[in-house]
Amino acid sequence: MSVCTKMPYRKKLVAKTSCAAAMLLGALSLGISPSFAQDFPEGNISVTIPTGEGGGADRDARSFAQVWNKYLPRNVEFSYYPGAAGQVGYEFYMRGDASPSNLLFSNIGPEVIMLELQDVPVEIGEDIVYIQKTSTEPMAIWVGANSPFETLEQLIEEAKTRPVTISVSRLPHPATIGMLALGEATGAEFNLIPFGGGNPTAMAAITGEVDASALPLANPITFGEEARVLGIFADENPVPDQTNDAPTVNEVAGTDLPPLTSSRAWAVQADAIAENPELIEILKQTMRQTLEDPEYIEAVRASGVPAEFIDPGNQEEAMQEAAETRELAIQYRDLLTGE
Amino acid sequence: MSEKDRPKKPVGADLILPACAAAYALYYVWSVHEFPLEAQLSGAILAGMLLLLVAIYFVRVALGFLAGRYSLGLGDFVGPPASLIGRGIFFLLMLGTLAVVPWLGFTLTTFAFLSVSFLVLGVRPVSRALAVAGTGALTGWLFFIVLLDTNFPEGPFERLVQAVF
Amino acid sequence: MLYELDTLAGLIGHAFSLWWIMIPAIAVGLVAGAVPGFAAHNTIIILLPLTLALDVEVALVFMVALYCASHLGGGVPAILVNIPGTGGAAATTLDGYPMTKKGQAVRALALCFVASVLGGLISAIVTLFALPVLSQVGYYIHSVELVVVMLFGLALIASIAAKDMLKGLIAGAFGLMLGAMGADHIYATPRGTFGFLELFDGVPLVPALIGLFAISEAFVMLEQKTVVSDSDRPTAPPSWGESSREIFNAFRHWWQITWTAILGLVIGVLPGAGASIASFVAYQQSQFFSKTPELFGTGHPQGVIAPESANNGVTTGTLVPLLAIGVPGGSTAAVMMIVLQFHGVPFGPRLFVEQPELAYGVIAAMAVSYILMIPFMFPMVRYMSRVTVISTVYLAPFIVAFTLVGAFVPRGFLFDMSVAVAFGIIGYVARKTGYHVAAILIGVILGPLIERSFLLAMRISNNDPMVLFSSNIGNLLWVLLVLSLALPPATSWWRRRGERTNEIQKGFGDEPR
Repeated sequence: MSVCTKMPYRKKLVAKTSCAAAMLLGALSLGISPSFAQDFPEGNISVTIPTGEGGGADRDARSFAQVWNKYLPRNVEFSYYPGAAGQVGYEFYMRGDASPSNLLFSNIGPEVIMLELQDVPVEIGEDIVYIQKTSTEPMAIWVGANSPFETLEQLIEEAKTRPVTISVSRLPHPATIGMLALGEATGAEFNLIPFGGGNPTAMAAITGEVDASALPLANPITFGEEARVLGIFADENPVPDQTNDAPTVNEVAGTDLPPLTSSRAWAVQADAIAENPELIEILKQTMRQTLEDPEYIEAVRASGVPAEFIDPGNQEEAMQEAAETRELAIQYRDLLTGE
Repeated sequence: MSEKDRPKKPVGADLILPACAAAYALYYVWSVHEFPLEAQLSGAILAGMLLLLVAIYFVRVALGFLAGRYSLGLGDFVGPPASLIGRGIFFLLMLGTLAVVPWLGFTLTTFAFLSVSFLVLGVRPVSRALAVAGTGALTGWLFFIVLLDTNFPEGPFERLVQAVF
Repeated sequence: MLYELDTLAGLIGHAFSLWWIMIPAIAVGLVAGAVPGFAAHNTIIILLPLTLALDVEVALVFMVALYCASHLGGGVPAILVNIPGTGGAAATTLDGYPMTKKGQAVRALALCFVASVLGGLISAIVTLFALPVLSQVGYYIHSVELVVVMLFGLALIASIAAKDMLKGLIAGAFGLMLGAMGADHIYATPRGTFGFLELFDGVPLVPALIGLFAISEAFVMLEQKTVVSDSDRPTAPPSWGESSREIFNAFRHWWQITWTAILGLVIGVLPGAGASIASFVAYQQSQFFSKTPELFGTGHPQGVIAPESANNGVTTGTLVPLLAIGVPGGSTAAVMMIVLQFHGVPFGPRLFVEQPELAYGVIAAMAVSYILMIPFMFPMVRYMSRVTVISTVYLAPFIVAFTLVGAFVPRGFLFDMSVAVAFGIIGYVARKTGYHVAAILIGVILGPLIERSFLLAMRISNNDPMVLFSSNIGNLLWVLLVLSLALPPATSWWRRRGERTNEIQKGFGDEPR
């Protein structure tokens, strides 16, 4: 028997429909005027991803674009600009046109912290605006399957006797802030090791190079049985069934830390909103339709990310999160910059 | 042949690379002097090592120079004089390519660069230079842009083809 | 572990049935590998819309075939015109191009292809049987051990700089200094970038490679009529018989191909390592174990086999972390992960539980793609060597035109074309004044990797330098490194001393009694 025919999970690709058919489908199912999306300029939509290809942002942006095409039938071109914790991506994005067809797919938490801590000539609100969230997930502390640590209590107790090594994606990151805050509150000493990206950070925890890892919760979930979640920086665990009912950090440590989350969000240049508000509205509306589409929910699940993390937060909510994250960055500036 | 009669080895050009390397090392150290220690550490170690090696090399050259074994000539640095002008123009054409490619796009820039380079370097007849350059540019366009859909700089040719097809 | 041979045969047989997608992938991969700037990773990204539209299995097979072929293609320009198509082929220039200069291009190409195909095939077969064992490597090799592995690669600078050690070390140190450019790994502060945002992520490797090798070589080659001197230039293309003979003769090096391929496979499994490191280490170790180390760098067949076999051994190795643990070990594997995620295919241990045929099928497809490359070897050996008789007035402009745009491809920055020209000038100066461009490139490639691993190890140990000697495997590697650096000069001194003693004794013996 061939490998092909044996594949139980083999997924048939959704046939690509023509632009007109896709628009019609969108119009029929969601009550949008076909001329609505047609008002959007022809040509490709350019998406800047301020991290490398193959990372979480790339995964999420592609899941989204796959379904978004139904509502806004334009080709989406991805460009990756990793470097300097996202600074390179933001600055290159700002060098591009202030156009509704020029978007940035961001990870609000780490990137707002980066913008605050590094010397980047980009101001949230003045230069760049997050117009639509796509997902929100809390930060988590987790270990590899072979780790001797079974609970967060054990990890904290150990960290009171010796510095416990924690792999993090980068220093300007909500997960890093969470670990620093936890250390401050409990007297535990966490030695934070920035591995530069989610994949190597996870690898360090899974292979036992470090004692534990602090990353957005979707990361350990995508590694399945290779990872064990010890604690979550949130008021409650949003996905207990996928994390073996992991407790929140505050429950275990008796602390009162604020929820530490990060949202993926679409952003545009502020000038694009000022110059073309009606076109930005088309973007927002088609994005919201995408987020509600069962096909998108299925695409998110297929990529290994819990559908519970889908968050259709609007511009106001996204900007509010950015403001709160900025406050956190200011609070922990010295520890995050080595100054 | 006695030491005195032996021709001196020209080492003037040999100094260019270590001088540039030392200059970059010094600039690097200056660029990180206000950063946290971990950001400075490896650069400082490397710069120290490089500057030490360059210093040893300069001492070696100075000793050879004083002993009359070295001269500060350029030796074979620029290659055979007969083809020097052609190669010099070829270098300028390469720099010109950088300047015009954003406007002319991949295909026309490649065609222009290849054809003028062939002519400058002595390819004759002119028709052959143009034919080879045209074939090369079109093959590149077919493989890289049509087949692989590479995001090369676009120019009038690429836009015209897009408009027609 | 995959014990059942009938299952293995079934997987291989099934992989053969996908020849229709492998053949075009191999053709594209060979060309992309040979053009600096494309290589597998960039080409796969460029073709991602196509692969996402294919069935997941077909897409994976397409990608792995293209990936393997690009590793083979990278050696071709390294041998013929001293321009490595990829970083992994940089070490191939050290002996491949001298062979071409001696009129042995056909032989060098045959060695390159056989080493690549056999090396890749061996590593794929080993992986099929030893995947569970290989997947454990990452659990034992961490930042400390990686520092030492990379130092093996760095030791190559000392080997290739033997003619003038001081100049070689300056070139290597300059490369390391340039490699330290960009944002630091801990605080992301930009260092030595002249304020260019485009350099914040470090020196872009492909433009550096293109400048140091391709552009500088184009200007140097213009000083003569053809790449090969008149006396060594073949008057007619090699016959089919001659090409075939060279290919079959290359198989005699099967032992060196086997061990360097396995070395490449193991290095490929390590996260953060890759084809460049594997080929540098394999070259350095081949010289160490060679009976004729002094011939390396002069056009020695072993100097072509080692890097080519190792950089093709890497191909399956880089997929092991993705398949076994679920974390991509390199950029090409990361792009493949996107395709798996897009199709909702689980990866890591779940892949082996839920779709073992797909996991092992990918490795089987790699083996088969190497087998399908064999027919490509014969015409390539026969006709590609003719590049060396093309007049440089044609060759040099073509090299500059196509490699300059190749510098643009990976990141889409016009700025990178200027970087290539800047490195071209550095490369030209280096070539004309006796500094080895390969030493500079080794520094540029390995510098940031060593720095990253070193800083991670230091930070994990709270900045205790003794961490570098804290692991048994690391200490064993240190001993091997010291031995491989110290033994060649020691044995050479010992041999010279022995020869001198013999001469003296012989001299006494010749004296009339």
